Amino acid sequence: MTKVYVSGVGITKFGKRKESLQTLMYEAYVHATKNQEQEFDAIFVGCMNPDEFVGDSNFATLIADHLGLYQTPSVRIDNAPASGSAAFEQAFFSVASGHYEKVLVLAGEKMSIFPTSIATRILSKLIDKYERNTGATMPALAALVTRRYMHDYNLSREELALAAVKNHHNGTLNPYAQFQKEITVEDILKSKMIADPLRLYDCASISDGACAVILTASKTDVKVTGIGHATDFLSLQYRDSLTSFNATKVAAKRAYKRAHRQPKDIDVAEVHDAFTILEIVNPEDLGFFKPGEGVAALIEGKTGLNGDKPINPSGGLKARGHPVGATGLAQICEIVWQLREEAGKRQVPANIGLCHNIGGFVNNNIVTILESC
Amino acid sequence: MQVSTCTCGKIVALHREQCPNCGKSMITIDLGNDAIVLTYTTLYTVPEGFKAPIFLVLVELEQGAKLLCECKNENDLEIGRKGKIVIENEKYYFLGNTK
Repeated sequence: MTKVYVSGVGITKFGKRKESLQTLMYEAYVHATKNQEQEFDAIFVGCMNPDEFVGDSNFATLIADHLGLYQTPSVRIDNAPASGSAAFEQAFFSVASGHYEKVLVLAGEKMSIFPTSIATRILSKLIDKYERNTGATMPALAALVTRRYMHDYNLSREELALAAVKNHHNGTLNPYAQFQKEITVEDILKSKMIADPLRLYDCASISDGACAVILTASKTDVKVTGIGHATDFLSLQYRDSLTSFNATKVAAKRAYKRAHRQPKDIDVAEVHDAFTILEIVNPEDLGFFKPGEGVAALIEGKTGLNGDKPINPSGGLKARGHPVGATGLAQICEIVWQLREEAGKRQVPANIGLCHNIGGFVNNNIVTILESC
Repeated sequence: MQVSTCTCGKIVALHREQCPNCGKSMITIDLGNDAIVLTYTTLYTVPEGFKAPIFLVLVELEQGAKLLCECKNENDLEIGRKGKIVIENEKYYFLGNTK
């Protein structure tokens, strides 16, 4: 298998953006290529739902055309909110197989066009039809998990809020984050109730943004050492555990095996904190902490920028923003910057980093391990 | 209350042809309507076409299958609350037993 390395990475500022999705992708592409003309063997575009959010289909061709990459093969990967990491995964396979030598991965979403009720309806289609027909939304399913976790592990509502406080602090140090403002536990507890006990500030935002990553068979200073991917039952009601996610556990196990690494080897991680409860559960499922101990790790600052297991130095989905298709690739960008010591004020010491991206309601998950070399 | 069972041990609520765990044909059987609340939420921000608030419960049925459904009374939103599943207009609802 050919070794696969990361060359340039680029990102746009996330948030409510007035530009079109293709313009945002172009901005990320210019950032990743440092405005140098380059040729690519193929383009992999991660985008969850351009058909409904921006009204365009055949989006892979639209992007090749917009970027002026005439005749370059281009394909769109939809893997729900794990589209960014899935596009990265498929691009990785194409280079690892020896079929291509240098490929461009783009990922993005533009979601802010619609009011929240319509965006919520579009996002709810990720949920199993029976469950969706009860009125269940993504925050509702997360609330069911939160309530059970609070019951089983004595997690308090105030402790849960600390996940958002931490990530908003990290976001103040990230110039690309949608929210670059500290928030307090009180702010969170006063925000609008969405799905009890989850409030507005427990949920990642509706956002616009795009990212670009170049993968190559030529050696660089960052290597992709392992990718693991796993699915779970579509329905929450089919799953055995309500406080742990098997798709994360299995994807992580597969990634660690390929990279010949263990959870203790990971210096820094970007995890999919679409809801505050996930900032606590994901590190447990990734093997960083035992079940129920994710809360203590958060309170004691272990997952903070100065802790021994920094998580979401970028601000995570909570503060960076969550344009669904872009998120997985934004995590890759952050880890590459951390490994290259280009993360500015949010820099942590790191030679080995991990990204954890969730598709659907935690049922199509991808774990990627990147290392300095 | 219908649940579907498989020889692999998987048991899921309602009728289902193929087992989500192993792909084999499932057998649908009728059980009693007893249920116990595993977790719950009150949903205030609802999708287009729904009326807020929605009381949602995830309950455990007999033999361990789980079902997500609406809860009739806000007072029944409690982990461990015992009750029954009632069916109205082809929709499933949880109704707590008299305390």
